[in-house]
Amino acid sequence: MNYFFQQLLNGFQLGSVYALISLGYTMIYGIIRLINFAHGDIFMLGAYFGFYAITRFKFNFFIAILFSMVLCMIINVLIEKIAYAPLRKKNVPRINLLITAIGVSFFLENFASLKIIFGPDYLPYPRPFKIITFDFLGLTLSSIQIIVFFITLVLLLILDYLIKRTKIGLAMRAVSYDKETALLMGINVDNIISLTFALGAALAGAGGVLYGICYPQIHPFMGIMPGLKAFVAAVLGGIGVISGAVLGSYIIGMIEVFTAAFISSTFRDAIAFAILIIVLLTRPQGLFGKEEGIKL
Amino acid sequence: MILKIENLNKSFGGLKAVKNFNLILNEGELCGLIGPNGAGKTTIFNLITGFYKPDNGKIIFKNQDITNLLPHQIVNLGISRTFQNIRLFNNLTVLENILFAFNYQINYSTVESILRTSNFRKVEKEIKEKCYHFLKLFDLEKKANILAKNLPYGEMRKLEIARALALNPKLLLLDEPSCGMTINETSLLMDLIRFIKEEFRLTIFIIEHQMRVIMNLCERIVVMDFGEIIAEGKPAEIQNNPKVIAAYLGREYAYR
Repeated sequence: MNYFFQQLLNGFQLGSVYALISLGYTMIYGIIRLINFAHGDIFMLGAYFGFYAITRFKFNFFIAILFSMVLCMIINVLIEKIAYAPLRKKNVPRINLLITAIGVSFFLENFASLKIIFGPDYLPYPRPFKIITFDFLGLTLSSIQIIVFFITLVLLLILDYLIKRTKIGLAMRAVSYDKETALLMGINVDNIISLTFALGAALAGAGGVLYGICYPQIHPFMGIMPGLKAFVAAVLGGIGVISGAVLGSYIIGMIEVFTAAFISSTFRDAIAFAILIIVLLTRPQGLFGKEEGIKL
Repeated sequence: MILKIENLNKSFGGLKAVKNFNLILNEGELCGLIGPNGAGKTTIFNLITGFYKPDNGKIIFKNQDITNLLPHQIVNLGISRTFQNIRLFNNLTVLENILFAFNYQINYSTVESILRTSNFRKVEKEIKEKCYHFLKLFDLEKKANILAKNLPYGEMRKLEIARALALNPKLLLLDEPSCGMTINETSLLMDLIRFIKEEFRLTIFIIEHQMRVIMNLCERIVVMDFGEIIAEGKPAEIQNNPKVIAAYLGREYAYR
């Protein structure tokens, strides 16, 4: 029984990281109906920025997370301005944007692999704080898990507040409902889109650093799998729906950990994508999505 | 003179939607724009509000050239509009729809809103009060917390107009406000338009198909056909203008 709850905790940890990534997928989809396949690579960059912040610049762990978030924001906004915005302005079919996103993804992975950038090697992630384990109701809870839960919670609360209570959040919601009407309300839609990319990237950047300290090995292609899993989570929750993405992430995280613990760890990826197929077949709008179906 | 349009042209592919369009709107005027379907009326609105860029020509609003400004910049200068097919934020409440328009005229930073500074709270409270005052004017205050999509049709239209006014415009463009309304609703709408014109000291430019509305409401009417102005004048003059009758009913009716 204890083993079960222990796995639950592990699933929660993995789910937290997925949540930070899938929010970016879902927000960007919500605002410009683009599945941003480069998002997993922003997460990878986040892990690397955190890595250098801790090892090279000797930043405090929390400062390192902030540092990584800020750099990811800047990079994602640049990507949006350079690669997506010109296409959006030409009103090209959405599939073009999607293919561009895949291109950006490959570009980032291979660019990061260059010797002069991050290099192709696997790097061991530093542990910026002592790992202490606590016994909690017979379960082992490590300081890593506490920090992951804590940071995820804080970021989710800030995001929730931003979206529900500030005028920027209101503007984001308006743009996602109806761009033209939002324009008529005097909103600079381009700025709101950039902001959405920035927010998504900030969360993914934090996710990258947290992933690094949980599963301490990073490489330029590390973003692919977590990125795809987070995408599955966003689809499961109903892409475009923010709370859905969070819940979907925890479900995927749990399922993955339980598959590894009780069936076989070789099945964990297969199961996640089996879920994608099942969701698309049976409930394409996801658990919380509106009845409009998934449009790629 | 609040708006001046000079030699405006716009074509879509081979179709000339607007040809050499010239118009002057005087401050405080209620001017109508009529014409058969496809005459280019909504295109004119889209050009004024910056949704389309003209091929050539100039649009001058309050002595400022707005031809090449973006839609959100034009709104902020004081031109707002409604749509023929009502476009509310359906999944927001009535209050939020209005709040939204107000929000963009006030100043507090996101940082302030996260820290909930006293300035932020003060501003926030003022806006809420202003919104309720607004809803009261339009008799919508009891429905403040209903989702916009659940309003009856006539009230949706009212909310859309209220939202356009919350942007604090000097010039209001109404695109077929009576579209889809019953006779009764239309009468109420006409009262509403007269009321807001006085209350907000507006200049109103209105596209309308119902002759009853246009003839009763407007001081001046501009008639378009095939992208061109074919007549302009007081309602009584327009009613008897053979060119207008020809455009609406066909040539053989006009000169009988």
